[in-house]
Amino acid sequence: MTKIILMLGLAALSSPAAELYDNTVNDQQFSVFYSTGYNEIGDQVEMISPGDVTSLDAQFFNDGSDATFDAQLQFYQVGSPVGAQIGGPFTVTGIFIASFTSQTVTFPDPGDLPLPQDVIATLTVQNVSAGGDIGVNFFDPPTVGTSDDTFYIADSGMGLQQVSTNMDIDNIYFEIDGTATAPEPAAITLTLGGLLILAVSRRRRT
Amino acid sequence: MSKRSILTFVLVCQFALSSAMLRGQAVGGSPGGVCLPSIKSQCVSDCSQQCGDVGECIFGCEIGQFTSTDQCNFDCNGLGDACVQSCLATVTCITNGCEGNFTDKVALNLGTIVYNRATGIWQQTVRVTNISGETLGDLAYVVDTLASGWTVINADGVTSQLVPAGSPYKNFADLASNATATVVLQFSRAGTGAFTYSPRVGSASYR
Repeated sequence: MTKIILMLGLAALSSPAAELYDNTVNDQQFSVFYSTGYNEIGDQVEMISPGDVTSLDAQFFNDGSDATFDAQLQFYQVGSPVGAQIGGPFTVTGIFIASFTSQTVTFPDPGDLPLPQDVIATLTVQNVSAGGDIGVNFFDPPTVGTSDDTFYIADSGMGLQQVSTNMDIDNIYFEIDGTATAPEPAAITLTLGGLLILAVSRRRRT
Repeated sequence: MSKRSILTFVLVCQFALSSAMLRGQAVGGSPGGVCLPSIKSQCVSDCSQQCGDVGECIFGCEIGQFTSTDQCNFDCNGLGDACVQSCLATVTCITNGCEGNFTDKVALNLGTIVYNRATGIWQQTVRVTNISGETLGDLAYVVDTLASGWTVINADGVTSQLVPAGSPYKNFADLASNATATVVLQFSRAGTGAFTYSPRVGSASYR
């Protein structure tokens, strides 16, 4: 039994790739558009732990005619309110998005990019074909990890700032997958528990 | 007597006559709220000083104290742009100085404009906080100089007493000191233009 507990704990400590942050479930039905005055739109998120990121999903909406566009993802340290860039940017080109539909885009492997637990992710769109009008969708609350729903991050030409809809839904659709680089509390508890039981049982034998 | 002086005399007489004719009518420009006479006279005086000896301009300043863009257009008809512009400037001066303009008595927190994918309606949530230390009543949030292509679709009316006229406004409840009200504006958009406007807050006389 002790060995089982230990094995489970150790297995959890060396976690395979998993969701570090998931805000893809609770669609608030609202979107913010680049054309209304923004160059870059994103959010500050708290993943379940620091991790080596393997992929990120984002979701866009088009309220114009059928279009293609390029999307760029950038990570930042949390600062005042935005700190230094982390890796990237990561780009997906030639995305097709039909009129009045949402499109989920997976950004290519950031090469196991190490990210802190609290991180800012932003999206920029370029080369939007004629007639297209691209925005990003609000989902809230996240189901894995957390994010403050009273602000998101955007640049309206004066640098990246915290902005708000005043509707308490201010979380952008993101899913961040990767390998946790710090154990979850449950895994730590399991491992320590197993080690404790092992130590006690050995002491009794001696 | 110079030609300019004669012109000024004639214009003032015209003004006196037209004022007499309009006095019996419902002049659509006078604000319903309280406006100190000293503010009106100061605005007219400042305007007139800037006109020098341009009779049409001085006449426009006098007309401006009726605080109506309609009055400016009516009485300046045929007198040129100098009359219209001085009249409008006086209207603006008086309305900005009169009670009823509460813009500097509130703190405005403008939410970002968002699109409702379910309804196809654009929406902005504005929080208005009373920082004046007194209760403010009969309030309206006015959307001035809204960017081209955007239209307020849930307005309670458009301004007619103010310069610029024709700005949509949304009424909201009386606001006690330090209280915050939420105003939700809905818009439609033609094209893909950026979203901008100048906000004002005022009472019934400031619309």
